[in-house]
Amino acid sequence: MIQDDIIWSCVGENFCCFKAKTKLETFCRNRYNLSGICRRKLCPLANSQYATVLEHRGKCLLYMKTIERIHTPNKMWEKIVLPDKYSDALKMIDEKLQYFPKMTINKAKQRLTRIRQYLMRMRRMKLTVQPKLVRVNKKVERRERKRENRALEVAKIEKSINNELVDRLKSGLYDGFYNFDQEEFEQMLDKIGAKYEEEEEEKEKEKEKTGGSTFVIDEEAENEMESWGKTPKIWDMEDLVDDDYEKKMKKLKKRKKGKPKFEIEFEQEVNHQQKREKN
Amino acid sequence: MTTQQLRPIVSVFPIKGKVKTIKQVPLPSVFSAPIRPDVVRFVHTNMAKNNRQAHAVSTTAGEQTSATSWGTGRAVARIPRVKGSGTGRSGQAAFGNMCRGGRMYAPKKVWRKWHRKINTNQKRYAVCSAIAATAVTPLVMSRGHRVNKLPELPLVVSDQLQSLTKTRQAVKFLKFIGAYRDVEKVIRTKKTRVGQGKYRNRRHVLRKGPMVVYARNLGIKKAFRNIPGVETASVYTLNLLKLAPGSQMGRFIIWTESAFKLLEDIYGSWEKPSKFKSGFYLPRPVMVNTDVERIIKSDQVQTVLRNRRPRSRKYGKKIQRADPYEDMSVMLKLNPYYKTKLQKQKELEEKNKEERKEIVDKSRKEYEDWLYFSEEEEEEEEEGSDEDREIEVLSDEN
Repeated sequence: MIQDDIIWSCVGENFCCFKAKTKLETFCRNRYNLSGICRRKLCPLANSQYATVLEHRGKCLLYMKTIERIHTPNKMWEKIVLPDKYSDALKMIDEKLQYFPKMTINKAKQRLTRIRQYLMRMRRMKLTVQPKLVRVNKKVERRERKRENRALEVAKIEKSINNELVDRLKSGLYDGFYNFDQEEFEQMLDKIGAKYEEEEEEKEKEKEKTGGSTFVIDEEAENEMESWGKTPKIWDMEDLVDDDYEKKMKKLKKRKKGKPKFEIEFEQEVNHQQKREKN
Repeated sequence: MTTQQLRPIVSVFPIKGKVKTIKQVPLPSVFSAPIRPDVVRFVHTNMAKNNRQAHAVSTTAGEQTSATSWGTGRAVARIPRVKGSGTGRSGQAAFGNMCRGGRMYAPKKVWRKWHRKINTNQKRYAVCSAIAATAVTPLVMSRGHRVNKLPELPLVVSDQLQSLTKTRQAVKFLKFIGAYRDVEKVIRTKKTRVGQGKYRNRRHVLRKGPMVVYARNLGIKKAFRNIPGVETASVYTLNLLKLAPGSQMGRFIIWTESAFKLLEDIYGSWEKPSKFKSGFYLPRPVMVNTDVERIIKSDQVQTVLRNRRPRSRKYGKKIQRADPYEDMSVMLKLNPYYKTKLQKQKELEEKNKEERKEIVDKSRKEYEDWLYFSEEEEEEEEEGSDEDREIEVLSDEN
């Protein structure tokens, strides 16, 4: 009591390690302050008769300090556990802080109320799932994004998908799915194979004639050759198939580079690995 | 002397075993000296200047040229310029504090007054204040010392402490007595100095920890020497710069029993002078009882005061007054003429009633006429409109 004013003149106006000044307000970081503000009546250092309500593990405790105990710091604060019931706790505060200044009693009750409110909220929050906030590390994000893009490029997904589909087609997986006749398809393949063989034969013949020099075969010439070489079958689709095939080939040639092509290769031995390497 | 005699008796604690009082010692009078932050600040700021070393700028710096001003008429500033030619330096400005390579403004001299004289009594006053503040728990806390676990303040310990030789023993004692938290704080907050001192052999900055004050050094000095933050001092030479670092009173001090007792002899009291400082008595406080609020509220003062004057309502509470327009009695209290005023109004009203009636009837009639008349007009217009228009059209064509 006697020294309170002296202490305030040293602490309140000058330096105090618990003081936290902001532009608008001066706060008190002392654990025992009733309402974190630095003020003469609220300073736990400058008031030898002081009381607070603090919470420990869900229990509210009333801390009281009197002049007699100021010189024994480890026994300075008398701790009293407040009852769980709110009204009983208020009564206890009234009882224990009977001879304390009114401001202290009121502030203690207010503090008790606030503590109880946040404890309730904590209990409620524990029952729900709280979103976990995670930092956004700009550097990491940037790095990962770049790596993803790079990996995408390297993977060449479209190409590998294309290859896979072609393999599956050849292996006969889609036999049941597509509507064209397997026999027809195979026959068509055979024809294409035969045509190629004929071309090769003629190449050789020409080579023999000319002595090694090669000639470019026109499409018209091709047609003529076809009509000579082949015996007309009863099957109607034959001619159409050839025409269509030529058209298709033309179309394929006109296609852009980026689009996947359906190339039919004529090699008898089908080696998947080689093809993948080529592509 | 003062009513600030806090505790006439102080406990003495052992250095190991159990934290229990082994003895009780009377509190020296110094601890009741007036605590004066203003005196301490003044003495501290001046005392702190006393360990400064002279520094100055070279006397010839910036003056080692024979530069002369070119005068007027050359379309250049009149500042002295370096003579000669054939080098970049020639013609450049020299000598001024604004010039590149010139001397500074008011070059520092070695004969600056580096040290300050302080009156001996003032110095002693400050030291007494600082020692007194050491015993005030809130002040020690406000300085930032971790003293929550101490058994008592001021902390007096048996003389066995003075014979400690090993740092290990010293640390053990600090932990035992509850003072090690303060040392931990120092260790935790050791940082590299901010600023250029870090490469001028002042690399690290430490907080101040507990100070151990002894009467006789029987090894204690070396025992506590290497513990970060802990300082030792002899009772005979207590330094204000250490008792109130940064002119902040309330250093955490651990006294040995004999040192504590010696304080009474070294600083004396108000009745007995000091044995070591000739003619020195403890300073007398300006105010013996500093609890102003208590004094004002005391019976002795309150009985002599006159009655309180009524406060101005300007900043006071708002008083709930009855509304005069709701309650006639209140209105009459405020304005007794109101009654007659109402009566007069009534008479006037009745007088003008007839007149008003006439006016009202007239206006009503006018309105009705206008209303009915306008309806008739509209009908007529409708009947004749087409014909009129046709005629008009014909006329236009013509």
